Amino acid sequence: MEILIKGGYVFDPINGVKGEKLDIGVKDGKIVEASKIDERSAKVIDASGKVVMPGGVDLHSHIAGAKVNVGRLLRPEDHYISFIKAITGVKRSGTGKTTPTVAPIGYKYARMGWTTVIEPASPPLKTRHTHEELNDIPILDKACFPLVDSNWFVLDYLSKGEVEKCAAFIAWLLDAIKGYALKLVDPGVAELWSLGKGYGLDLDDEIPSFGITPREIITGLCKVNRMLKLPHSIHVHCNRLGIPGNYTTTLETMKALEGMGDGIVIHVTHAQFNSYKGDNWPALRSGAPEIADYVNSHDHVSVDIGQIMFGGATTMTADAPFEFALFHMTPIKKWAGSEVEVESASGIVPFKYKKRSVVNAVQWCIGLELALLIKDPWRVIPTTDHPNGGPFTRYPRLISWLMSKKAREEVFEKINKTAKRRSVLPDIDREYSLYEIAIVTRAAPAKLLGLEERKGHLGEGADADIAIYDLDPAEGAKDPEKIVKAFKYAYCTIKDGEIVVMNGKIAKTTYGRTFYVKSKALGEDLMKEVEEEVKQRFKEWYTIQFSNYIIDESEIRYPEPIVVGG
Amino acid sequence: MPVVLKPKESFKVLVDAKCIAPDEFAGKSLDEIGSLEVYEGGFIRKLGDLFEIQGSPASSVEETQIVIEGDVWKVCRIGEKMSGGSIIINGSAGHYLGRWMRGGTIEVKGNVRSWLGAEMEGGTIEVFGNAGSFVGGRLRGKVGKKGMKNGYIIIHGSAGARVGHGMVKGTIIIDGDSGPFPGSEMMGGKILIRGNCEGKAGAHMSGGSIVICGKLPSVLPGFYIDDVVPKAKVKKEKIEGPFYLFVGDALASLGCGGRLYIHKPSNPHLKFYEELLEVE
Ligand SMILES: [Zn+2]
Repeated sequence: MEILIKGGYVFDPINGVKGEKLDIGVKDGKIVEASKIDERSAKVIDASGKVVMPGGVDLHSHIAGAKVNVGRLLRPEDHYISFIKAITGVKRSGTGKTTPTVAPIGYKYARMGWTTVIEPASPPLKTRHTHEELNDIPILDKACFPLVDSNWFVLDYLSKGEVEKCAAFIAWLLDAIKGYALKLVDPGVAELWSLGKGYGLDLDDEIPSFGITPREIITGLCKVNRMLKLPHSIHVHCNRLGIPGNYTTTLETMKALEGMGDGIVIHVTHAQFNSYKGDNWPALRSGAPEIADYVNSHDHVSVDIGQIMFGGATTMTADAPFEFALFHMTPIKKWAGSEVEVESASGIVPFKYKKRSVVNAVQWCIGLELALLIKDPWRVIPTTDHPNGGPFTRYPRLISWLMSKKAREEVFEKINKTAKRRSVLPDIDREYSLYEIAIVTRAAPAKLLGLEERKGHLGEGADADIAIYDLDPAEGAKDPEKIVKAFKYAYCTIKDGEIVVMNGKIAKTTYGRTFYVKSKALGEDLMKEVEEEVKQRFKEWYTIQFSNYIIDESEIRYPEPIVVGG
Repeated sequence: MPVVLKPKESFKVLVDAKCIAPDEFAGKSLDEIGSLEVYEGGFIRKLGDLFEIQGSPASSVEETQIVIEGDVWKVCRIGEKMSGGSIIINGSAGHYLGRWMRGGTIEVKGNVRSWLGAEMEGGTIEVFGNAGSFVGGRLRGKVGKKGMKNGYIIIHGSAGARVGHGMVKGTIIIDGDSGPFPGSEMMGGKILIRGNCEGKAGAHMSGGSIVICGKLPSVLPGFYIDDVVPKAKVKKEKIEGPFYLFVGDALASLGCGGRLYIHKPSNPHLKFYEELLEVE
């Protein structure tokens, strides 16, 4: 099908287009020059007075896998009154607000104009489950990051100083389970959690079973990441997450990777949860200015904010000891926790962020401070760490806070007054422009993921993932309510050249690709040697067979390998 | 004049019909009522596709009377959130009957499935047959939240497990027997079971009272014997005893706010508790 999008204000940061009136052509699922489209036979979309952007890219949203599903099971109450109807031939049904089932995930993202979403934490052993769910999420392109920080193979190789072998193992692992990038969650903590310990593990604490520290794991895996030439940097949930005073650990983590190489070598994820000052919860203050200062003066770091949204959330992370501690702090008495043999752990606790709570109000400030104090929009991504800080469906509200000081002031009216004194947010005047929003929600995450050739822009040859918002860039962009409305229900979303959303309603159910990485950076001999070693150890360490561990390409609906380093 | 619904055929799959409620019917014409949306399995159907609809609808909720002639054993969510009027079911009804109900009356001549009057806030439900589990119960997953908040449920037959799970106010009367765990996690209100109970009465209760006139196999260890009383009172009705009065459940709250009245003559095996009572 050919599509011509006429007369919209186009925001395409990768190609330097800043709201100019342009026509966009779509042919065979790719973007082409508008002049190449025959207007008489093409489907013409009148976008005059509207904003045209590339499809949104979310690089951190827990949308699939074992723990997401346990979250659903743990929270039946999340599903009673949130039902979307099926329309035969158009869309599937589903339920859930903070723990939506597979179909609504795809539809709700597409409805907001997002087309690529990454599941950022999948224990390798459970990744078959992750892919089964990713397969079933409609519309979106997706990928998953395997958890590697507590993997015994990684710990073993790194503690012996065999970085090359570790790299070979990681290259094998990514291909074997069809993963995309390396995720580190509170590095090393899952290994301790298997002994019932690990809360508050700091960068230089030793993990006795392997005689290794989190610092060594992070630097080791960063080296591995560089050796394999992976498209994304290491994706790190820093140590001591959710513990007051942890901003120093975050700074130390970033400092540890100075001089690792050119470009971005570490992505600090949901940094809000890692930017806490103060000795205890009642004394919580914002450490965001320190983190932002560091990021502004060093270019090897990128960040996503992990904003909290007032209301319901379901916290889920591989940081099992933290979840166990959180369970004892919350009034909602529910908790699920588990350990994944040889590899990882996880915990889940339902949570509610309250406006009246000092802690929650300060948390709210910290996320926004990070987004507004970090000057380079190419290195700070607004996320809610769905569903930890709040569901992804609240992105439009988050965008309105970034774009409007007035909107932020309105929130200050309603939240705990102490927060104003403990943060610098009230003094920040910065307001994002629509161009900057296009950077932080599209171009930058695509670039950080190494997908900038085909995602996050509207240049010729890019995948035809396009969002059109009913918003006037001059007038509408000043009114927070108009911003929320426009981003909540995209006027039109196009995915791979097919119109999937029209007038804020789902028009078609399609299925996107799953990206994964094949690294050819290492020699074949080394790869073979390590694979043999893994096979041998597998019998000792795992309760399943080696051959059952490997995920075949045929198990993925539309697999899309990205070959690097060859 | 009531609105009369007659199933056209017997239902083969579950039907989700939360629209069968006086609040939805009031002020609508028969045609409009017939075009209300229901789910038959996964498919959207119209109420008129599944039921023959007759009678004359009233304009206000209070005056609306709905009569269902026939078995709706597979039709669930009837009377959801209703605030007034009445529903009479001359047959058996499906689950979630009267969930979140706020007022009015529901009468069922046959049996009902589980979750009858779940989390209801007011109104009256009378069932002439038996009921499933979680009568007046709190829905799954809502740990620490409230179950039945007010209202009155009377079941002339027997009921399944967890009658009044998490209830805070209101009254449930079971004329027959009850399954295990009546009044589990109960915080207030009253439950009267005239027949026998399968056991585990009042597990984790922190308030309210449960009266059991029949046999109870044993009392949970979280309960202390407090007294032997001649009578128990439920909804102004004085029930002849004597009753053992237990307080608990100490596992839920050390205040032991829950009260368990167990009929003494029907439970001779509990006699050993009397030794624990202080004699003055
Ligand atoms: Zn996360």
